[in-house]
Amino acid sequence: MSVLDHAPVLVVVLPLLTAPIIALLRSARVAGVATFVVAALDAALAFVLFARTLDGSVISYAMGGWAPPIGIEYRIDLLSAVMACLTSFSAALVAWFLPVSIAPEVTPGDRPRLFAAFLLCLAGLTGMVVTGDLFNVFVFLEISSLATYVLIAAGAGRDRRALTAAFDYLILGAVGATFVVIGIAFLYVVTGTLNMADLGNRLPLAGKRAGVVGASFLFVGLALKTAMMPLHRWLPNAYTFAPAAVTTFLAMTATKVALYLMIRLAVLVFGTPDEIGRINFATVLPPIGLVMLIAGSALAVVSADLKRLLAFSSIANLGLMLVALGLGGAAGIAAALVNLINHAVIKGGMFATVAGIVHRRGSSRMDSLAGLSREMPFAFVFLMIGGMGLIGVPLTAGFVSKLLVVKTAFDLGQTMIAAGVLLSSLISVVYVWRIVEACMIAKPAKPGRRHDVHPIFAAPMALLGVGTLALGIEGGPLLDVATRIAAALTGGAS
Amino acid sequence: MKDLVGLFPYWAVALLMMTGLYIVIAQGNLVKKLIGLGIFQVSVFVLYIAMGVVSGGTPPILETGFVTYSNPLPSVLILTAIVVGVATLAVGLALAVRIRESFGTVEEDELLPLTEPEAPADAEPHA
Repeated sequence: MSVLDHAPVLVVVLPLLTAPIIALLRSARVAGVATFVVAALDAALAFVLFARTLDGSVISYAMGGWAPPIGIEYRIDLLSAVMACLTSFSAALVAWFLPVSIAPEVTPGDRPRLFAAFLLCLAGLTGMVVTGDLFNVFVFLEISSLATYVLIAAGAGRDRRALTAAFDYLILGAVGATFVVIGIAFLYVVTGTLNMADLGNRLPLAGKRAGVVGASFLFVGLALKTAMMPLHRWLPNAYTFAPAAVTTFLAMTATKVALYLMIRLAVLVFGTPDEIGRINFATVLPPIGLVMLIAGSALAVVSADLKRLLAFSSIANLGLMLVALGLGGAAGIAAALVNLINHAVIKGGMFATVAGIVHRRGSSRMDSLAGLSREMPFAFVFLMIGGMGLIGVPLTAGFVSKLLVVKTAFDLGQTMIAAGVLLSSLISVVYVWRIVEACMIAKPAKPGRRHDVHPIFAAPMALLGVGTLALGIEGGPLLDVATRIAAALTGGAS
Repeated sequence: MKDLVGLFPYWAVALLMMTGLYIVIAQGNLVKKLIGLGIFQVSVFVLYIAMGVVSGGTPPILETGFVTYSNPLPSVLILTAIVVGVATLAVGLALAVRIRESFGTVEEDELLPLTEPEAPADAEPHA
């Protein structure tokens, strides 16, 4: 048996076990390099999983050799593999510039422990997408959440409001996670099993009521983690005050994994792509998603801080994903997945650029961006590519995302949804214009010399920026993978 | 009456759950919020343990003569959840200490004007 046969578990265990070792390292420099190496190795393992599931096969890994459903099963299909790739590649990209980016905020002595929290967060997020066991989902949810609170609080070195942002998220996140355990308890009472596939087999037979209650608890808990309005309160402050590198990682992964869980639970446990218990995606998600789209975009327009602006834009884009999911069936899931990946690439590129800007200028407030286009042209170009992506200009990934949602909505006769998406695009023109205005038109207090981002930021910025364009120019392969995933999840019916 | 007595643990769970959630929402003091969170989480521990009990069952130890025993799995699961709860409380209290050091208060209404988006960006002195 080769080592790679253990990839399903290694992809979680590697960052989980190296985190405490890295926490004990004395040298912040060594710890930083080690963090990147671990994240990169993890990405390689996730890619192995992707390569092995691309043909549609499902890997079932019995933990400790105990056969499921008694033992804990790690179950990896193409969707899990794609999500594992998303979390680990994001982590590798962020770990590349994390040590430089947080240097002004965190003392060298604290840095190894921060890197450890970063790897624990990665382990938790990856664990959630590969496990086939419902209680495992809760444990990994808490591992990633606890690490996230610590990572957000690390922003206190620049702005003490990071502490209250982290505390607020801790309270809400803990309540949300507890809702998830309550939901799991009800489902376990009804079925006597925690294996998700086994739950799916038994649930339709069992008494419905407790199952419906459990499903509702699960949905609300996950809605909080997805930052679904009105449970989004934690997100703007968390994204604004966390260190910029941490924000990059969270924006690329955290809310997306919660959305993944929603899809996974609906399909695997409740046996339909359109419902969790009695909560019907088609009736619940489009209205909430449309409100998030419009309100998120509008709040982005009035934000005085670039990170806050992008955070509200993230809420709007999560709304778009929920709307896509609410369209229902295989087409809806495919559209949601394409949106999920595209937005991770666009927003990751923008936040990585913001990290580079904050590293030079010490602030991401809109008024501190003055003169950026002359003094940091490289950063400005990538900010613009991302901005175009957020609007949905053709030849960017955002265009493909929005076109897909609008087209699917028209195909299903949902013209209201299509109109809402287009309206939000108009509002996003306004907030992207505000970035242009702050960078190009606003006069700096004193003109500085040209001083672009630290070179270490260049590689992730360029990769994600080029990715934004590449996914926009050739959207076929991603759509193909998403369609295949959706078809497999819904049993071939599309 | 039968429901009241027979389902007593679940009434207790509901009471604890709502008490905890109410404290989290209604209290302005960050430490009290954490206490409420603790009560909220404890209610879930009771929920799990209560549902594992089999009436007339013994503790789940294999021994001749005992055939009915309680389901050990919920108790084991809740061990994990207790550890998670302790960790959450520890991180929360650590944050409360840092907030107190940085802002000089742990009262939410006093923190609000200091933490609104337009407030000046002060670095935390201890970092």
